[in-house]
Amino acid sequence: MEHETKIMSFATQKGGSGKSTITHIIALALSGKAVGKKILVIDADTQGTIKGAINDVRRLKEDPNLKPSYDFEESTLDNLKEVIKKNYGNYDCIFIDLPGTLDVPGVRTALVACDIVFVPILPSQPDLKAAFTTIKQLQEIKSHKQEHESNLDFYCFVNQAEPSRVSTKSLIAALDSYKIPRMEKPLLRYEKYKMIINDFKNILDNKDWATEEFALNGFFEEIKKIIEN
Amino acid sequence: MSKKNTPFIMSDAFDDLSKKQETDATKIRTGNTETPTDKTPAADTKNTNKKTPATKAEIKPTVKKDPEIIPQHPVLSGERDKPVMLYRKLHDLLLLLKMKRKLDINKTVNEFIYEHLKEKGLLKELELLQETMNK
Repeated sequence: MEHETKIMSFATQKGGSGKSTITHIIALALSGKAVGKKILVIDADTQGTIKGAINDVRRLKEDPNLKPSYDFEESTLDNLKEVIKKNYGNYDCIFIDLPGTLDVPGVRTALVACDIVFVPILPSQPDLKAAFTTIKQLQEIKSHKQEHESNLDFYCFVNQAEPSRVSTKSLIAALDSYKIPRMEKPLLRYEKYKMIINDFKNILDNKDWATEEFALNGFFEEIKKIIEN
Repeated sequence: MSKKNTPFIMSDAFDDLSKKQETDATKIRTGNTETPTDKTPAADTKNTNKKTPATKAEIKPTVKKDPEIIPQHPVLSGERDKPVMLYRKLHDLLLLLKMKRKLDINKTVNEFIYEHLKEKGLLKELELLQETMNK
């Protein structure tokens, strides 16, 4: 095998928390010129956000050859295990984009396969509740994996954070009070992030884009450090 | 980077653990009942022969499907959150329709909605709403 592949996912028991968008952004950033990792994104979410973005008709009309800097493969949840095994060793990182529920067949298998899971939490009560369910599940998987001399690391992070707002501060305080492992840096609320899903501009390679906000707030650097650890 | 050991996902431990997790997920989905209808590998763990998982055809005869049994899906059995109340009513309605085939569905649905609002103490609000609509 050419690579010791890290399998990862942005996962939580809730839809609309930004999983697909962040997967796309981080996969772009890691596979761009600045970092140069070989990345595969497997879209196993029936919602098909990433697949939809790649096959966006309007963009394809403008530039049929435009593709993201990462490789992409679509998979059903039933077939996911085989798709991961088939690609293992050919990439530095495999990101699996999953549906926003942990109880659908195939999702648990994907989580067991993961080396690292990042749990995005929006500053809201339902998101926090969903994160707790997710963390409980991940903790269980981690314990079982450790019995087999393997491991699963998981980190929560605040998505769409507005540091000065009470909701963001309260969320961070709640995570810390329960001693939930979290990333130090939140992903700030920034409208341009949402636009990247239909535009494959690499956030690190384009000075016009969110380089300052994205890189300087340290979120990507922290993720990169975790992955490379 | 080169590999030294067998990666976890290529090991039997991965298959075993993922099967266990899928079985747990199935239990949650089906309201903790043993229903071997799931098509995922997790369902295979219920088979006694672990080394040679049974095919779907082999599993089929073991499935006991009684059309009169109340469905165990958590939504229909009313085990979850707010919308469940409505679904439970829907389930009752379906059972009723099954018993009385010539039933007026519109009338019955209205009755159920009325009963539900009555239970919740919202009849006054309904009257006020109706008054507003009639103006």
